[in-house]
Amino acid sequence: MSYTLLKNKEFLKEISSTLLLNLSVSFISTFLSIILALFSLYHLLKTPSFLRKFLISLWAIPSGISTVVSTLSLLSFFGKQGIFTYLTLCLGMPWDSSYLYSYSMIIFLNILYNFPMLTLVFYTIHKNFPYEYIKKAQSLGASKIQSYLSVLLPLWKPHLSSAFALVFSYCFINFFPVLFLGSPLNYKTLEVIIYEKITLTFSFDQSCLIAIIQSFFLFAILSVFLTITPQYANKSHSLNERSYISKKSLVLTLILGIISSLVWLPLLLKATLFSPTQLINELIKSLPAFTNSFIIAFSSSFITIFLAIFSLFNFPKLFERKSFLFLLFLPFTFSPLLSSYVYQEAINTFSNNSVFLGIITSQSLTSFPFICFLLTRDLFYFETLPLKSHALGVKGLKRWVSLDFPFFKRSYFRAFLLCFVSSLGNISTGFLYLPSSFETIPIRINRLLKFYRINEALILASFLAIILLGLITLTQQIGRNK
Amino acid sequence: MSYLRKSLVFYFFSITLLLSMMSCWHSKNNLANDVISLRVFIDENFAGAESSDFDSLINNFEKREKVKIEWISYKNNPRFVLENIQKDPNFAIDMLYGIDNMNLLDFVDSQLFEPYISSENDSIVTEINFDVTHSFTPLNFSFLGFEFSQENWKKEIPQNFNDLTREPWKNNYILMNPRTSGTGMLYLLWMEAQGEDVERLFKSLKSNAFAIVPDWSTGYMLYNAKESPFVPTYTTSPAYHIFHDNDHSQKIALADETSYPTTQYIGILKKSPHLELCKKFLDYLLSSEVQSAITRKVWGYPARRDAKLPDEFKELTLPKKILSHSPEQIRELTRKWLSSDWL
Repeated sequence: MSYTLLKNKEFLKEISSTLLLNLSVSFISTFLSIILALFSLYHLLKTPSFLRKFLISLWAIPSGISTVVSTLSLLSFFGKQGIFTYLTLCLGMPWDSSYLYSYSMIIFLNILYNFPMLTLVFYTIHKNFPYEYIKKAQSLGASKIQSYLSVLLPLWKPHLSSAFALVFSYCFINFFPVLFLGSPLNYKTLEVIIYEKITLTFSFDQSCLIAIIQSFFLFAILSVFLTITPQYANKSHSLNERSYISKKSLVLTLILGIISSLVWLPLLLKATLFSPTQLINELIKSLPAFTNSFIIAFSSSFITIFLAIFSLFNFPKLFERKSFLFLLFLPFTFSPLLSSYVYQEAINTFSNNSVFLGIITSQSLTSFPFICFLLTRDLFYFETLPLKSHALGVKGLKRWVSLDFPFFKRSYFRAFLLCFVSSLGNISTGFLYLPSSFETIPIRINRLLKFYRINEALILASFLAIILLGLITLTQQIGRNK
Repeated sequence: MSYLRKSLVFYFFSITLLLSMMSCWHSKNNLANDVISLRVFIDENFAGAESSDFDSLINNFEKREKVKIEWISYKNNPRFVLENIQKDPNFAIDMLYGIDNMNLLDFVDSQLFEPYISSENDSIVTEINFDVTHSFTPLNFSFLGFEFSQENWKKEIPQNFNDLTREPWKNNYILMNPRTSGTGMLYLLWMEAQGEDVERLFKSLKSNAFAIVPDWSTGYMLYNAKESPFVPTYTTSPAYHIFHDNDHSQKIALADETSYPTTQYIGILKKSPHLELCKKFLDYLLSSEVQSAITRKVWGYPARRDAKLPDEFKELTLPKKILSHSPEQIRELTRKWLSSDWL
């Protein structure tokens, strides 16, 4: 069947043109996101400590917000009835809201969604960066530019390439923003075509083939960039905080903070317009959705952490291999829509259609590679500890309880919270069959939107944003092991 | 600070533990009652709708017959379900709801559904029932039209499809891609039933449209976000806005003279182990009280002629003439269009 499809000229034409456009949009979005993230980092370091902590929490929100919420937020800001459109009209310089449906806007949304997360990643890297090498190079006679080009850039290159891989993969499999904003342009990503084939025209074989093509391209690109990624975090370097504070940076970071909030703040502002009765009613109605989301997020995070710790401590050698880390990333390259379908099919066969079990399993399997990767970097950072414990003859569970857990508990808890936050924002809206009485917060938001209950969806999305902000702040506070 | 952090962690874990215990208790209670379960597959829009009247009537049936109705929602295309039934003999399903005129013949031809003439069959509106085999029974129907808000659009109102191809409506309406959307294909059928040159008209409409969306939901979301003044939808959609938002400004264009019906059918699976119970449930769904309540669940007209309509439906206007095709004609036309390159 697949071979016949590959000979179909119409099908190939559709896929190749989508792929080319998709690659260009993803590349531009990623490149600009990295530039903006570096710019933000530069100015973030020149802001006072209290503002820096606030901005770090603020910039962490987009990573926990679903793309449905971010797209709607952008729409309620730049749309025909949006706040920005209204403001520009009042100022006598009306903004043409048709610009919302353009490639530049899709790129803009990609940047808005990714640059805050990248800034945080770069900030973590910066905290452990060996800046003393630059000073040494300069003391040995290298000029400022020479030391940056020959010392700073090679050391930052691996981090930049892994950041590129991360953002590129997000842009490449982007779904909802493209479905929504891309319609007037007729712009699609391969993921949107998979959605059309699988849920609308039911061409399962075609959707499988497209998913394979998508995985192939994504994995090829990720491989190129991940081969130059550092395996471990940089080892013990003193925290490099710039001591001077610049007013210009203060203003710039605040502006960037506000810009990054465009993916959720307009919705929050709209939600404040509702009466307390409306808010309370919607919250009461959404209580089962909140309960289900918390149970699933808690259980799947717990299972993921357990599996990750079990694997890391039993097969540490495996995780030192770069090829294995590549394999861990393989599931990320596969179409999320199609994988939900495959998961559900598999789970239905074994678990008699248990929705909870199905979603918890799929969430755990999806988060597992990411958490393993995160813990690998944290745990190998302190690689001498397991060796010492071995030398003392303490092994197995006893070693874990008495030595490893007390030492790594902050890392575990941080990984747990990250897993929890990501689960809470994206609970299996892709599942193809669900009991109508079963809801999680994202599923309820989607259903409300489908049933054009935009106000209720806004209330719920805002509450989700507030919960995520709290949890993300907690994660930031915990940080890494010191 | 450390104390605050510890407290936060403590509360976070306590709340999650409490919620988990509540869920276990809830599941245990559900399992305690050993009742027959009827699994009815429904489309996502039906699943997302909230109607306390309909739900309480279903509860009455559950209590009376000692049965649990399990509504399982599926994504957009019912062909998914059909494929699963065909390939998986253990796929647990008793009834399937949400089949429309577009898919009817394929589902009838599958021979998987039990022909059944309900005791309430004589009350069904005949003009919207196209299944002569009685494998499927209509539950509700609506007509096609273009929705707009009188508050957002104060200019001239289009009277027919050709009007939409003119300058005043340029970039002011959405179209659904007939290749991916059943509703989109129904609009082509409507054009054909009006005697229009479908290819020419659709090309002109396409070039004048604000967006071609893959499905009805995306189009309606754009309309609700007020990005487009007109959206192809059902003539009963304004009733929803009247009921929920007390918004009487939503009106329907193009459907005053003629319109095309879209019927939603329900079918019983031959392999269901509870055939008699399914038939009883189908009869119950066709009873006048459930049919009255179903209007606010599906936001469509009830299939039963004598069902009482809620007040918001009384503001709607019915088309003077209903245009339609037989299921065989629909299959022939859609196959022809799907194989053409202009679509």
